[in-house]
Amino acid sequence: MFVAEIEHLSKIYGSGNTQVTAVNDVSLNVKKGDIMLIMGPSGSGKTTLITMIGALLKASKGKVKIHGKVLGNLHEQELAQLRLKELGFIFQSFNLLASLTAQENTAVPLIAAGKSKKEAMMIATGALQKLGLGGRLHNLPRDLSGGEKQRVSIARALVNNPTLILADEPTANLDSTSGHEVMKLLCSIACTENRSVVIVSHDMRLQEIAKTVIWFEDGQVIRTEKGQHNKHCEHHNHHA
Amino acid sequence: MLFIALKNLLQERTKLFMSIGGVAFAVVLIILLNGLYEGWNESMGAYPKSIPADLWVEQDGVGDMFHALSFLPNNLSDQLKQIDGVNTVHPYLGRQTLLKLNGEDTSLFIVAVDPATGFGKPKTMEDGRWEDLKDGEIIIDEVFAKKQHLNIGDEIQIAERKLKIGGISSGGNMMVFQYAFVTLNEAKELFQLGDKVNFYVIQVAPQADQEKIKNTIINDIPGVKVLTKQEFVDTSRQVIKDSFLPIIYVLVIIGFIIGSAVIGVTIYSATVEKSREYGVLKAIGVTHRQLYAIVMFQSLVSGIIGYVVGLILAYPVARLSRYFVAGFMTEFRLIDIVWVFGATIGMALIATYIPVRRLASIDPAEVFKN
Ligand SMILES: Nc1ncnc2c1ncn2[C@@H]1O[C@H](COP(=O)(O)OP(=O)(O)OP(=O)(O)O)[C@@H](O)[C@H]1O
Ligand SMILES: [Mg+2]
Repeated sequence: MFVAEIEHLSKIYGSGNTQVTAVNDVSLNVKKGDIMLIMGPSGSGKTTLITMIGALLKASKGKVKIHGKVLGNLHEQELAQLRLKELGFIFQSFNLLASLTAQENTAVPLIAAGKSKKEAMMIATGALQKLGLGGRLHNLPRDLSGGEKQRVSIARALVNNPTLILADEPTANLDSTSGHEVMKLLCSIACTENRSVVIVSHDMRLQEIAKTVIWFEDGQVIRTEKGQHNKHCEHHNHHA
Repeated sequence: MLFIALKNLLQERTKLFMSIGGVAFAVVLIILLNGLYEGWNESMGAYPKSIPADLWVEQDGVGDMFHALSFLPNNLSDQLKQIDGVNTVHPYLGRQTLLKLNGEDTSLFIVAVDPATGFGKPKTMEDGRWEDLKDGEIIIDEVFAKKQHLNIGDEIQIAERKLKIGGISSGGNMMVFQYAFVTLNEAKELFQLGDKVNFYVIQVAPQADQEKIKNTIINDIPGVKVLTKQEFVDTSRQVIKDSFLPIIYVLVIIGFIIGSAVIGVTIYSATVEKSREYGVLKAIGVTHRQLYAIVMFQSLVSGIIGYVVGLILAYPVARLSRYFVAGFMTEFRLIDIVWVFGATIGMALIATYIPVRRLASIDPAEVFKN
């Protein structure tokens, strides 16, 4: 079974003259353990697509299934639950909470899922240590570098053990070294923990870690290729 | 989830102080107004309460003793004493009297004190002794003394009489006027009552049935009305209930609105500033309910801290006000502190109405935009 199935998915913004078809009849499947890279020019609809897969935006046509559940049939509450438990989000601009430390930011999804604060903080500590941030637990986001911030947000995306990680331009705001770090992390998340990762990006380097590369233009899939994953990922296994 | 609320509050100290300040201000205002009302209420009943009376006999149709004069013949005393269960009967002379002081009109409620029995005497003496009161002298209330800058030995002119201040009393402040005390002879002279008195005050025998005596008096003596001690005290207080209570209500409501508005505005602006973060939380899967709880908790925390600060400030502010304004007498009761707490919680919750609606409208899909 697929982690995510996308069937004839379309998104039309606005109406009349200002109508924009951001995603146009897209069908694709995300396998377990896949690292899927969706590449395409600016405005091609990549963010729109990943937002729909992430249960944050309703489709105009077609459907998204996560673990066989059709998102369009779920209530707001159930969608929130699905995002919390099954999905992990990584954003271009990190989106950490400014008043929380790295540890607290990481603990948020755990607490939201009903864990006690104490337990959540312990798990968060472990997650951050795995990502090499053991010395940064009590730092506020403003005291972290871009790469560190993105690693905290990856930790936050992973703490609830989601099966599908969605990342929109995860390396765009990072220098090339940090970008590379984040790439390695995303790679090992899929390889050693058997999660699926969908990455949307302009960044050509990400092809190195991708198992599948989807070329996207004008809201449509124009080509699907195998990525160069095997060439690279074996070398850098997970820290733990 | 609530630790996020605390973290946000601590991060935004200026906003926190603003809402605490706003609530504290509202709480001080509400507590003082309420305390003033209670204080006045207490003080207006204080003197009538101190009179050792079980029943008051007054002219029928007079109502309270401040708006109309009660006149009763001075020969009722014997008749009243005949009634079964009546122990003592005292005539009571007292009336509101206008006078001019330093070119300004003012008034006193002058009461006759029987030097032999002390009947009608002030509630408390601050300076001098009522026992030493002589004809041609007057005891004034400390509030009146302070207001008019009068002291023992000063003279005031009332009608045709020049009266020397022979003592200062307290417990006789009726806000719009104060009680003053003269001898029985002096009162007769001053009021020109002739063969009339204003009230009769009855003390009943220990086991007597007040209600029965009351009915007997009404049946036996035409043209009189009988009030129990409590009823008489209440008519004294009615003046303030009628005139000040509605005003106090309005001011308390204004205080409540100020408090809610200040928390509301600060919580709202904090919510707007953090709307992206709330969007991120929504995207991660935090439910609306959990988000509302965060905002409400912020509001409640500022509200409760504001309440405590207000409570701590209220008493010193009352003392300070009392220092400058003699009539600023406040009475704080536990029950008021409790309901003001309830009102504060109310303010804090009402304040979240608009922020919560704002929260509901945040689109989590926005978090993918940069
Ligand atoms: N909320 C919206 N309302 C109207 N139009 C929108 C909205 N969001 C996106 N669009 C339009 O949909 C199209 C696709 O946008 P989208 O953000 O998905 O592209 P993208 O591939 O992520 O671009 P980029 O690489 O610049 O991030 C664009 O033409 C954009 O203007
Ligand atoms: Mg985009």
